[in-house]
Amino acid sequence: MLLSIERLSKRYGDMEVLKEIHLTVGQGTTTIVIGPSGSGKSTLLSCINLLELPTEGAIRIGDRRLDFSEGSKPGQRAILSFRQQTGTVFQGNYLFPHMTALENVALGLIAVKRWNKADARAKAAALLDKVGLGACRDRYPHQLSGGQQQRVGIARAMSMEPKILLFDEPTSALDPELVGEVLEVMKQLTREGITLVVVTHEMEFASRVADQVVFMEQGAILDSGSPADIFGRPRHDRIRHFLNRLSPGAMHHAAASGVTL
Amino acid sequence: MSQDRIERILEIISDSLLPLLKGTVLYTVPISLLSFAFGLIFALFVALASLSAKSYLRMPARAYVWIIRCTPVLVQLFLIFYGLPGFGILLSPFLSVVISLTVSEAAYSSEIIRASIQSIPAGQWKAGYSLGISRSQNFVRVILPQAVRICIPSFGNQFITLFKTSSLAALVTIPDLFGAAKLIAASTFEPMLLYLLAGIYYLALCSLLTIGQGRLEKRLGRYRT
Ligand SMILES: Nc1ncnc2c1ncn2[C@@H]1O[C@H](COP(=O)(O)OP(=O)(O)O)[C@@H](O)[C@H]1O
Ligand SMILES: [Mg+2]
Repeated sequence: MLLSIERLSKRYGDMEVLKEIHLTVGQGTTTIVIGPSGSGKSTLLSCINLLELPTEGAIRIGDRRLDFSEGSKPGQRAILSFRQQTGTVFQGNYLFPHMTALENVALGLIAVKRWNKADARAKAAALLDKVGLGACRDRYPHQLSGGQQQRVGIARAMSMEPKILLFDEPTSALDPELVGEVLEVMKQLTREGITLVVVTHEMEFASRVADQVVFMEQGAILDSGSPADIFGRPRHDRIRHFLNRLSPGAMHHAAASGVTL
Repeated sequence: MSQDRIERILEIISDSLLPLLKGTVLYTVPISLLSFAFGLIFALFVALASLSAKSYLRMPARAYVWIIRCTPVLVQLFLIFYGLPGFGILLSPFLSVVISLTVSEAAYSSEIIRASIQSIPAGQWKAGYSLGISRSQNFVRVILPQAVRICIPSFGNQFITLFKTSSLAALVTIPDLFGAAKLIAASTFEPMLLYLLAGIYYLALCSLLTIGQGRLEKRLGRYRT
């Protein structure tokens, strides 16, 4: 397993946002995280890339493992080098508005890996080509459509060659007609054997690409399994209701996309 | 107005143009530029300190801003120029003015910088961190460049204000633009004429600064957030 999370908890003051999460993610697989708003999906991703420090538990990526407990915090160096194994794409893309698309993608290479400018720009250009934005490299974020911005965000997240890519609702802020191009790029990533953890409510996409679906509720994982299990024959009423409310056709999508029910 | 009067006025004006220009070039401009530059550098540190989580940095910075903003620059200047010699610290008039303007400029600008840093959305920090960038690199490469662009219009206003406030130099014997006018006014008994002339100088120079400010803002406005 590339990523394993053991009894991970996160508290803000008295509020327990994540409760004893256990999760494993295999190398090259795609994990889709679904669940109602406020169930802790974003917090889970933030604990994997350590933008938030878990209160308790352990996370391992590859052969690096960090243990968390109340009162002891990993050092800054350990946090940075652990985090560098992850890449993150945010809902609001958070591109750097004062940098061109190319500069956005090259920043990590220059600032963290200390590459020289020419090499960093060459690699950034190649990544932009890959997400279909080779022609837009000198545009500023405000000169790009929402879908293009999100694709730059993906190229930026991949620039550091992370072991695992995290997506937090990458298409929820987009106009419907722009969602497809972003999902297309993500599908391409899954085909290339990159390990993804994706919070999304795009059910058709989820059922097509997921190796594992995780349903979260109130800070805990209520159920997880193959898309056929979770979408096709959900064991919990809560999940059935959630899927129905989200899109009444979700289960048909799962059926239509070749998932064996 | 009699022919004589008009001739005398024209003569005084033509005799004053050069001294006023000299005062501008030798004192008003250097004092303004130096105080502004030092003030900005100092302001950045004060802003960082007042944003710090550590109270031994934050409290002194807040106190500094509070005291300086709530006392007149003239009082600060007189404390330095007339007060400090009592403690054996004798500073030249020029240095006294530059120090007092730097000190007050830093207090005002630090508030501008602090507000601009705070106005950068948290997502920008997150995006930088998610690339594995350290806190200081994130600040220097991601946050500060955006904050600076937000500050530019206010800095322009600050500089124009500072340029005019530098006329306090005349009160500690410096023949700057205003000081030169003051000296000639005293020797010719033509205060109205000389102070009008000084006012016209300030008006012209600040108008140029305003134009420059507009151009700078346009150039830095390449991107929007
Ligand atoms: N920084 C924070 N401080 C306090 N509570 C937070 C913070 N971040 C998230 N929460 C709370 O944690 C819960 C889970 O939030 P989140 O992970 O964003 O859920 P989701 O992404 O599933 O919608 C919510 O109740 C939210 O209010
Ligand atoms: Mg969320």
